[in-house]
Amino acid sequence: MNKRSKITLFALAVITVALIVIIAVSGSPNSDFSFAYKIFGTPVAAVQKAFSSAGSSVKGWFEFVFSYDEMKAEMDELKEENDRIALLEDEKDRLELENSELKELISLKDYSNKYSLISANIIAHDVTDWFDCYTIDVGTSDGINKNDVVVTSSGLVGIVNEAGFTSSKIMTVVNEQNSFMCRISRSNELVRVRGVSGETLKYELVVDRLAEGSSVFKGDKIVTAESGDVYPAGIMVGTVSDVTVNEKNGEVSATIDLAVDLKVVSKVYVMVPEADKNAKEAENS
Amino acid sequence: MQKKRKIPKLINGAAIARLFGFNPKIKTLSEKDKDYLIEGDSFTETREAYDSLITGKRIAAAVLISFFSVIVQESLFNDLRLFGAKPDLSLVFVVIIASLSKTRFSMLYGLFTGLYIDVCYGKILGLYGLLFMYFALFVSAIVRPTVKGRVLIMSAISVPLLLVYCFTDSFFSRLLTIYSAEHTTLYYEFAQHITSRILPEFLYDTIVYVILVIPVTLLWTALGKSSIKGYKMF
Repeated sequence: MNKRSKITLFALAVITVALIVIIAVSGSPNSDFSFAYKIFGTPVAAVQKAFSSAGSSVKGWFEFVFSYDEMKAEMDELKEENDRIALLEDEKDRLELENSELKELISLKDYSNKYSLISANIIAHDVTDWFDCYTIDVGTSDGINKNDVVVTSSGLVGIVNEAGFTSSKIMTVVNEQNSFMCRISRSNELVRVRGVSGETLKYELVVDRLAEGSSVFKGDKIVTAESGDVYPAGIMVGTVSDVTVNEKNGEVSATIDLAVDLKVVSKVYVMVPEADKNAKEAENS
Repeated sequence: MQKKRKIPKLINGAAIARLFGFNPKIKTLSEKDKDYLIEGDSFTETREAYDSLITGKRIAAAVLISFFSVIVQESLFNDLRLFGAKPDLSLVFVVIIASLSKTRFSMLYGLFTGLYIDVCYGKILGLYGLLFMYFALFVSAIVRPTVKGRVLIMSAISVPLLLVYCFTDSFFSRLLTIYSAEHTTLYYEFAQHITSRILPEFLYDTIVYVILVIPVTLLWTALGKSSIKGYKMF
């Protein structure tokens, strides 16, 4: 073996050991190893943004070509819908008034009192599909912090996993690391759900821990529970699409179809706790 | 005595045919034009020496390919999924470039592409740096000396290696998920995991590999040869 080969082997060994240590540190639960992302994430986010819009344009063009008839039918339908909406406007005002009275009556906790919603665009998806991380175009400069909850008007998307200066990474709910407690809205029973996308590439959740005597049925709505102090209670997660019973041990498990279609979602809202926002504003002033 | 750094001029068709290892003209040329060869080496040895030269143009191309393949993979292929899977474009480039380059260069190319994915897109830092580095090293050590630049044989060896990578990637990613999330199960249903995840990814990677292998090989060859004075590929 010549000298150059020996140096190469030595370098390979050093790099391997260094990478294993980095993997161990960054992969450990609750690790905060985001400095590299904070340094490199900002310039790359600018390129990602440009490519994201180019990708969307290409996708949009193909969609238009292949679904022209469908779109035309939808347009006709929308015209009719528009007429109906005008009539519903009055009804809506009346219901809003009634709703606010009811809220006060039962002291319903409203998210808008506790959180401010910051809108964000998804500019990059997980390259490898193993960790279901999306990149959004807002960061600490917009008031985003690690562990802020990310939602759309349809329901839960995930949490902020790493917050860079102008962009952040979010870990979606379908990631297997996202085991969290939910409630069946029909019965208010507590269940534990986890993501399965890493194993099956399907954007769905599984109810893997059901309390004894609890029951879950197809069509049940699942919402977040207050447990864990990460997700605010009551955010829509999805609907039970399948219930299976293990013949060997009698265990019941259920599959949940997400309320949010993660394959097409492009705009999300980050829920920043008002307390954090106020503290930051006070710090800045 | 200084070696002559000249190589026979190849016509367009010959360059392409040579990639498949079917070109009788090259053999004729090698016998005719002894003066063009590096002294003491056969034509094949000389060609191999030039094929794996690391030129400035090749380094620049590798950097650009690494940077843009990941971005294109993420932004475009995310919407062009097949059976739920998207191809690993960066992996395909790592395989092709490692098949054409020496182990040191392949190793570094794999390492930096992997680290770039880890930092900008991944969740666990270092995972793809390590996987890509060893995979590139493996491909370069196994494929390059065996195939000597012939695309058909190169593909025949590389495609099964893509399947090996899919299993390896799956195993380590799942292992780290367990480590990170403190789970206890590596695979809930391994058969389902293979059919719904590994095979679609492998299939899509193979399709992309077949599409890209000839253009990238030609480009790589052209970038290496264009820096040699007097060499004309097309």
